[in-house]
Order: sequence, then structure tokens, then C-alpha cells
Amino acid sequence: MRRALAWIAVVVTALLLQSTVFAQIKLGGAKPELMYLVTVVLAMLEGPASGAIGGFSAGMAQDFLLNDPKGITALVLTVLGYVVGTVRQFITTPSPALPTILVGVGTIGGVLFYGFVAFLLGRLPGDALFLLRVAVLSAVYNAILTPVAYPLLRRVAETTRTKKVHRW
Amino acid sequence: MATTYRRVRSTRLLVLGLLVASLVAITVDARGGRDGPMATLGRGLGAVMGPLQEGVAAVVRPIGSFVTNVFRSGSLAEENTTLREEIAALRREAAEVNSLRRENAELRRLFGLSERHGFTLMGATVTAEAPGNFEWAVIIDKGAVDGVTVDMPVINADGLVGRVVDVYPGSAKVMLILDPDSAVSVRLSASGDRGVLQGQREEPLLFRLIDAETEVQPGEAVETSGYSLEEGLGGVYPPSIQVGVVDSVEPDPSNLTLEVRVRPRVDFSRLSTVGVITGQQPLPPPEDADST
Repeated sequence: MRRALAWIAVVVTALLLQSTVFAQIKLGGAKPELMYLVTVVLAMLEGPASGAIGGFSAGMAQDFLLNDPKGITALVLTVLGYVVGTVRQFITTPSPALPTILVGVGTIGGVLFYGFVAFLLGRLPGDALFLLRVAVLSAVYNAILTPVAYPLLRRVAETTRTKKVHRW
Repeated sequence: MATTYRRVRSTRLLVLGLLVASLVAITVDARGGRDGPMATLGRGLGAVMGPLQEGVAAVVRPIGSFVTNVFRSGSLAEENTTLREEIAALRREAAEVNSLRRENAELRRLFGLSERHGFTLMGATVTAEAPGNFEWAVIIDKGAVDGVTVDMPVINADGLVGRVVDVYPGSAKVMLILDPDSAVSVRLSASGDRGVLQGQREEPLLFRLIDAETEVQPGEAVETSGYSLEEGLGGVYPPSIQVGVVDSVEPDPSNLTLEVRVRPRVDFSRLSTVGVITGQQPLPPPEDADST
């Protein structure tokens, strides 16, 4: 319960920051995609199942604040959380740059997938070039924010993780 | 081994369930439209987020100006701590005063505009933007309790901003004319030739003329026509609100008509004070009509 509340607070804070602070500080006209960042980091830290659930919840929260059909971002972030969580299990490098790389790559892939789903539903606002530009810029922005966001999110994950108790 | 297999299988089933839930949400939302259960849930979340966004925006705006000022003055770091704090406080105050002055000037111009057109105007402040990168909308601090309803036009001192698309108790969402879903029925101020202006994201707006033979020159003013073409296209905005100026005129790829691009008058990157048009009073007859 405590864990769920902590991650809900993270999602609400990210949504607030994205629609207020980062609406004023854009990178080449693009905002960061903080829901993608939160999903990728959650999947990295907690695995594919938590990544998928977190992605679905964060996506639904963002969808409810958009005019697009509710469920597109949820679908995209569910897949993103699952894929990143699964891939992470096979990566053994101790590189401190790993979160930044995964967030960057995950955001590009996620935004392009969002564009594909939106295109299938006839809701893509622009051409492929525009989509690619937004994907790259928001991925770069997310990657820049990761060194700050990752330690905070890891702390949230560690302090709210269920601890195993061994009884003798 | 068997445990791992079971865990992988249950994770896959979970993901499959979530994907199905997403698809169900998309379908229910598409079928329910504006009054459907998903839209109602969305309005519920919007009602919660509105005051939070307003609070964050109130804190962030002066700090944003303050941070900008600090970035512009590197030499402050070398001065002593007391002096730095004093300067920082003064700058913060100056930023707040400048922000208030600008807001005051914008409101004066806005209400001057409303008097000229006979609009009943409600002043509002932009508190946030839509969170995504694929939607061009802002959140204002006036909502249902203030009398705001869906489809009310929104302007600022420079011209047309957009229209209200969603209303929460204390806030509302305004779709900007930049959004590709936005279509405004407009006319050229000089000739009166009509057409529909469509949002093109950050690019100049696309003006689709009804009469392909129309002669258009760059620099011509474009205003709302108050004319309804068909259901859902135009008809929401009162006539004679300035929208933009013609930026470029080129034959379209088919060579059958013109591709007219219009640069909006409103600077959407600095949108802060806006007015919601809640009604329009009949204007008095022009003075020259009385004299003849």
C-alpha cells in the first residue's frame, strides 16, 4: 500500500512538473516525457511486472489529461515497462551511464510507438519527420534529467520495497 | 526452474491483461465521446490537478523569472553573501513587479478590445499546459464555478487564442488554434474572402480558401468570420477577432488552389493573461451612420 502511494505521488508530481515547470523550459520546442522516464526507471529497478503496471497507471493518468483517446499512452507505457524490465535482466554492465542510456533509448522507442498507435487510430498530429523530431528531443531531454531523477526514484523504490523477513 | 517459468508466465498474462484493458479504454472512450465514462473520469482527474497546477504555477512563475535573471549575471557569485541575498531578494521582487505590470497592461488592452467588440469578457490566467508533446492546449484558472462552458472562445490582447474544450470546477482546458484538431472559420480583413484556418502545430496556420480563385497577398490581415461552414467547423467564434497575417502564398502541389500560410498574432510561447468570451452585447450603430 505504502509502495503504491509512493509511486502515485511520483506520477502526480511528474505530471505537475511536466505541465507547469517544463512547459516553460522546452528543448527545441519539446517537453520532456516524464511518464516515460518514470516507467523506464521503475522497470529497471523493479522488473517487468512492476514496469508494466507502473507504465499502465502512469499512462492512464497522462491520458486522462489529454484530448487523445484515453488508453493510448497506457498501452505504450505498458509495453515499454515490460520490455525495459525484461531487457534489464540480461544487462550486467555496472556502468553508471546505464539508466541514462536506457531512458534515452526507451523514450525514443516509446514515443515512436505512441506515434504508430496514434497513426493507426488516425490521431497522429503531423508527419513522420515531426514525430521523429519530438521523439529525439524528448529522449535527449529525458536523458539530461535522468542523472537527477534516477537517484530520487531509486530512493523511493528502496525505501518502499517490501522486505523479506526470515523466521528461524 | 518451474518457479521461474511460472513467474514469467504470470508476468506475460499480466501484461496481456493490461494491454486488453488499454484497448478497452480506447474503445470505450471513442464510443462514449465527451459524455462517456472515460471523459467523466478525465474531468475528475482534471478537477484534482487544476488547483495543484495553479499552486505550482504561482510558485514557479516568479522563480522562473528570478532564475533567468540570475543566469544573466555571473559576477554576483564573487560578492559577499549578505549582498548576494539582498540582490537576489530585490531581483525576485522586481521580477514579480514586472510580471504584475505586464499582466496589468495585458488586461487593459484585453478589456479595451472587449469594449470595442461588445464582448462580455472574463479575465483568466494560464496556469499550465497539456502534459503531452502532441497536444496544443493550456489550462486556465477559471472553470465551471465561474460560468465557463465548453466551446467558449478565448482571446488575449493580440487576438484569438482558442476555445474551451473541457471544463473542471475551478479550471478549464483551452485548445489553442495551433492544434491540428482546431479549425476556425475566418476571412481576409480586406476582401472578406472566407475560408477555414487549420492548426499546424508550431508552423504557420494553414488557410483553406473556399474560393480557389481568390487573390491573396502576404501581409493581409485574417480575422474570424463568425460563419459556420458545417457541423463542427467554425461557428464557435464571433466575427472580427484578429487571428493573424498572411505569411506566404504558394500554389498547392496539385496547382488547383493556393496554399496560404498565416502567422498567428498571438505569441503562444508567452501566453499568460487571456479572456474568455462569455457573451456578446449588440454594438451601437457606427457614428457616420447617424450623421447621414
